[in-house]
Amino acid sequence: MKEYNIEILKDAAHRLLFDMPTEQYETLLKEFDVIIAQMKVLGENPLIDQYEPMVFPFECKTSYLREDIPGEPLDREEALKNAHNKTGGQIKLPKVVI
Amino acid sequence: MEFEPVIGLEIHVELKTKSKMFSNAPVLFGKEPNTLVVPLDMAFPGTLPTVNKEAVIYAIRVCNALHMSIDHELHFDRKNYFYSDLPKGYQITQDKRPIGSEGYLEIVKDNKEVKRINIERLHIEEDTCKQLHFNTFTLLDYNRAGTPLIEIVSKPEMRSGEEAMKYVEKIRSIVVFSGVSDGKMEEGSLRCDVNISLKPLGSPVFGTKVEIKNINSISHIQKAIDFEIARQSKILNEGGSIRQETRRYEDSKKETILMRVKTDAVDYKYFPEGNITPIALSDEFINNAIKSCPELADSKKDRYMNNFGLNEYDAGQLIMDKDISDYYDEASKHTKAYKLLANWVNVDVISYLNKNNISIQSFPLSAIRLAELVDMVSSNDVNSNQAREIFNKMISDNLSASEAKKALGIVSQISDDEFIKKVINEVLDEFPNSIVDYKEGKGRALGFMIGQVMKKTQGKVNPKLTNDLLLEELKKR
Repeated sequence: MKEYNIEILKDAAHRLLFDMPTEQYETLLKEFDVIIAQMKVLGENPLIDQYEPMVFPFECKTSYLREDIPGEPLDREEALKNAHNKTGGQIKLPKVVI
Repeated sequence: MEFEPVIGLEIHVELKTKSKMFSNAPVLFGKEPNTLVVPLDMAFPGTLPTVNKEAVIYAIRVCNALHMSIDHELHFDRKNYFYSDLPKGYQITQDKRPIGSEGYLEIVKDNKEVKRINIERLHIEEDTCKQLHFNTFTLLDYNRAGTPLIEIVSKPEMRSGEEAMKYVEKIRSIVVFSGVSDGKMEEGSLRCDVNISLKPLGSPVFGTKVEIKNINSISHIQKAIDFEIARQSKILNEGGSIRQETRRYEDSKKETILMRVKTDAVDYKYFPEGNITPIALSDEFINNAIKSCPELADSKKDRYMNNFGLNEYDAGQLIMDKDISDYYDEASKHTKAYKLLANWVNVDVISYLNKNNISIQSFPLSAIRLAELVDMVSSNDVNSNQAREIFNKMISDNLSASEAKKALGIVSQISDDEFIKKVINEVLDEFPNSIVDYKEGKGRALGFMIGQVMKKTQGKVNPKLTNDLLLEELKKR
């Protein structure tokens, strides 16, 4: 299994366009240790392939539906803040289709 | 060799909600780019989707109109792909459990044959962003990203361009009349992809499928399919084989153009959307969604024919446009002259709209005012020529029918039998030669005598009644 370290977590965070203080990366790394340990336990179960994959850990049906009431949209500058290249309020990308 | 086309359609319909499918960003058309987005639409970390209730209600209405089984639980899945039109890296859709399954609709072909087209599924999903492609770059506007969509997938049971066109017309009518979408193909709120293959007539084996994408008008559907049938038939008859490919219809050339050759089917690695738990839809919720659905076109047509005595043509004309039929419905609350009202709406109102290139929403004459005018004609208070003058005056001066009649100095028609008979007999006494001419079959004599009656009454008598009474009086002479 691939080793996780703070550099890998930082790289993942940067790819997702966010960053955190160093102590939070350390907390996250500890959580990964727990998750990986749990995965190991699951992997040791010889009957693991006989279980259907679960999406939710328990029955969690709801009847909640959001009312169709529009909210306040983001300010355009804020919405496009992470875009490297923009023009006329639109994000500009190299063309990738023919 | 003779071939049989096998045609299936996938139709995407944008729903007319106020907010997006999984976020509360407003849904509006024609706004400045990237001004209708909230963090979820841009896939910012930490955001979670919530399901728009109105979009679910709309989907249920369409499922019901298409006689589908409606799932009492909503389940969503992720369709994974990496492309700039959705920043999340996946589209939230319903892969395993569409809200609607196994339905049908019936189309009436030009030869009056009724054909049932079965529908495989209807599912809810979100629209992608609008991409503007230039020579070397692409611009992205996320205003549309997340707009609620329903996708309706037919079974491959259509056999001609005409059938496909009728099918789309029917779907469009359902989504527009049920109030779930404006169904404007030219603005992209109803988009149609066609799958078409040919097989030897009578063969159970299907041929290679070609997809025609993004057809943006109903008439183009028939043209694109007819062209594609001819193109594929020619290739097969010349011993060639059909490639699995995606094409688009180019109206200026009246032909389909190759977009890309398909290799293997794309694996979207669907899996359940973990951020939306299954949502139970109660019987009450589903029934209310169905009960609150506005009257559909077929039902209106039946009502016009059965309750209002309209013929099929007039009723069919009225339901060509939901807003026109709504206008007629409103006017019909204020007059009982339903047939005459239909004539006025189908002829005079439509002609005014066409001439001025406006929609019924911008038509200056309210339904109640038109009904008043129709009642004037129906009660023989004014004749049809006078009514048209009044109609124009009502529009130009924003007047009621009675105000316009007064402003034009139009005096009410006389429909008093005894009075008209008295004048007729005066005319007959004055022009005995005209009676002889009429009896000898000279048609002009009748017109002359009516003209004389009109002259004596300054044109105030009801012309049809005058004609009928004159014929009666002539028989007595």
